[in-house]
Amino acid sequence: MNIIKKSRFIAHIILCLTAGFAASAQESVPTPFEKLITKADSLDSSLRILQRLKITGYVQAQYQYAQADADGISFKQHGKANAYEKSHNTDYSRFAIRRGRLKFVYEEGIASAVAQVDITDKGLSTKDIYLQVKDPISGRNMLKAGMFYRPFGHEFMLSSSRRESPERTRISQIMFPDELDLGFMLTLQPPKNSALAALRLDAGWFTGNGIRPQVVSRMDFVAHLYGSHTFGNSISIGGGISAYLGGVFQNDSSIFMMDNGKFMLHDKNANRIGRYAPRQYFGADFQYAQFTAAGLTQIRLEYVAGKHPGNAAGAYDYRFSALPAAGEIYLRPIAGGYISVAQDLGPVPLTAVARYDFFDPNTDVSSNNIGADGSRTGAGDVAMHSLGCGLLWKINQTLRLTAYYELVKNETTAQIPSVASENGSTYIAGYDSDRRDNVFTLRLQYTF
Amino acid sequence: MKKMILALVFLAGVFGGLQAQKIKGSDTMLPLSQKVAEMFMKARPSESVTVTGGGSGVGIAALIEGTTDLAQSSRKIKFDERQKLQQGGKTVKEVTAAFDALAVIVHPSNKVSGLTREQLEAIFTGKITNWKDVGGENLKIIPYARETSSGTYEFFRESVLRNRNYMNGIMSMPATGAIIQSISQTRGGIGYVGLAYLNKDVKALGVSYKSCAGHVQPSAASAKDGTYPIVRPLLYYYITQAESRSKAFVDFVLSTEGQKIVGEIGFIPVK
Repeated sequence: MNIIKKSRFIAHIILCLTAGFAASAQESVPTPFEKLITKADSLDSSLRILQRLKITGYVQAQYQYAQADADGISFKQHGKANAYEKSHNTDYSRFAIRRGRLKFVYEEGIASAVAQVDITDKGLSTKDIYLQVKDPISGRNMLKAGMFYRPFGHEFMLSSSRRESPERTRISQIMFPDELDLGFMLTLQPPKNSALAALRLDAGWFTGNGIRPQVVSRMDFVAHLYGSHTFGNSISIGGGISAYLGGVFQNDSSIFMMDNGKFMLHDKNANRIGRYAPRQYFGADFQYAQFTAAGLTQIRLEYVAGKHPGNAAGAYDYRFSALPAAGEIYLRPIAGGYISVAQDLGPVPLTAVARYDFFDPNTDVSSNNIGADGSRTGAGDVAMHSLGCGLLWKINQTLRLTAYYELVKNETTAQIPSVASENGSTYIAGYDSDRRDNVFTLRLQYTF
Repeated sequence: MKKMILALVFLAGVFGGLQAQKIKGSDTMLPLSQKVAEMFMKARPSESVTVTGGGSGVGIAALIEGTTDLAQSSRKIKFDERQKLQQGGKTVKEVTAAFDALAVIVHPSNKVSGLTREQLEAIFTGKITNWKDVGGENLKIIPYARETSSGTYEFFRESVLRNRNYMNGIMSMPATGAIIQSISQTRGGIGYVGLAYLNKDVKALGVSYKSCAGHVQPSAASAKDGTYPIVRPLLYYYITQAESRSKAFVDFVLSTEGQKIVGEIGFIPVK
């Protein structure tokens, strides 16, 4: 028995060694061509992985010259004049890196992830960070979650690198100072062969707190229904309607609303602490573009109206890092809009741009009634009109130079009390005539 | 010294290579551009031209990205493509080099000899699914289309389907050759190819755009006299600001010699 076991063991050893030898004998040395094929295969698979990652971005360097009263809307980068310039009421200028965007997109199959940062002379800040999942059947519907543009109107979602004017309109900046918000959104589009295929609905829930973390439980609903159509290869028409149905947490028992040209305490017996002041906007947008012998003509229109909570002085910004401090809320009926025209200048790579925009922070009061005794209105209720015009030089596919002058006109009022009076009118000195707040911008943009 | 000469020769080669004029895009136009390029280089030995396919969309995308000098396209440039060029301060020049008839092909054993536009639309949008509904045998119809980047795909959709979408799940082929091969091996198959690609492995159907009119067979003659309805221009696009890079080649295509090649290949000359 032992002999049989030993024989089997030896046979196994011999078999294994023979098989191993035979296998190594069959291994042929690859030819240089085979090596090249293997290397090409390996490089090809590495390249496929790399192709899933796309890196794009743009840098905007600019010089701005502003009149003494220019505010942070037109003169975006550094806000108002410094203390010396202010005290001497002098015009001033700044050189800055307005935007330095770097965007990473990783896409594989139905899912993608996007991260964008802004690197400027002010430092590094986070912009978009979101994930996106497409429906695997049509690829036309998708879910987006993270920090990204709210689906409202047209200008809010138009990249700064493509916009002709240096900054967004006043109403855009007042309504959505961060442009981005934290939330999730569904995009729904009818099937490609449907008669409604040109329509698209973006609808989502957002914190309403810009790029800061959510501090209250409620989320705001935002939606944009959009449609577009091209006629041949020369004309494109698009348009949409938007709604923002949100609220701002109230840490104060009082809310003031407009009544007959004055702010009046609303529902005076109610304690509104813990409730939400309405923040609601409705908008309509329209875009037209046509190629002619002179080049591309682009016209964009947008109108927004709604209710916007602010304080007595007209501070509109409601982004919080923590629960807001107590303070009376003033609910303003706002309206704003713009019309923008861009016209190529024939065969030369120049485009002329003109834009008119207006923002009325309180449509229930105007002119000399602003700042009237007992009205609790003030500088925050003054309407602004801007007329901008400029020239774009598209030096090549990546470089663009913009020269743009913005003429800002404010509503004027004869009410000029020097201090807040006991019966509620607020400080409005300086608005009895047009303020000196025009801005010139010269910007060089490189896109990659 | 020897090394220096070799280096100069190498640099000249590299420089010469960089100077090669690049043409990219439509697979339909590939035989035309290749043949014209061959004759062009023969006539001008100092010039070098490289021609690649990939589809009209690929060619126009390459023109936008600046990786080709000429885009060959069997469809018109789209609005958003023009807009992308415009954003870079560029405009394009469109040149019609030839006309092409698009032939609707089936398996040679198929008894159907002609179809109306409405019938073709119903077949390619999935409303008619059996050959017996259009006078053929009881056999399932298997439509083949080109890939979405193809200008032929776009043109057929625009002209025959009246901008309606192809049926879901249609067999999508990467090249004209693949359509010919698939249909030659599929009894119920139907597809479309440029006239220049027709061969004995497939059968071309007569087409009628008016229900009262008879079916017209695709040919250079019927396309030229306007009786065959599925005819499209074959186009070259180049950047106006870089016209000097491409003008000589385009002029050569439009010359008597170039247009002779157009006819030999099976396309319809513009002159």
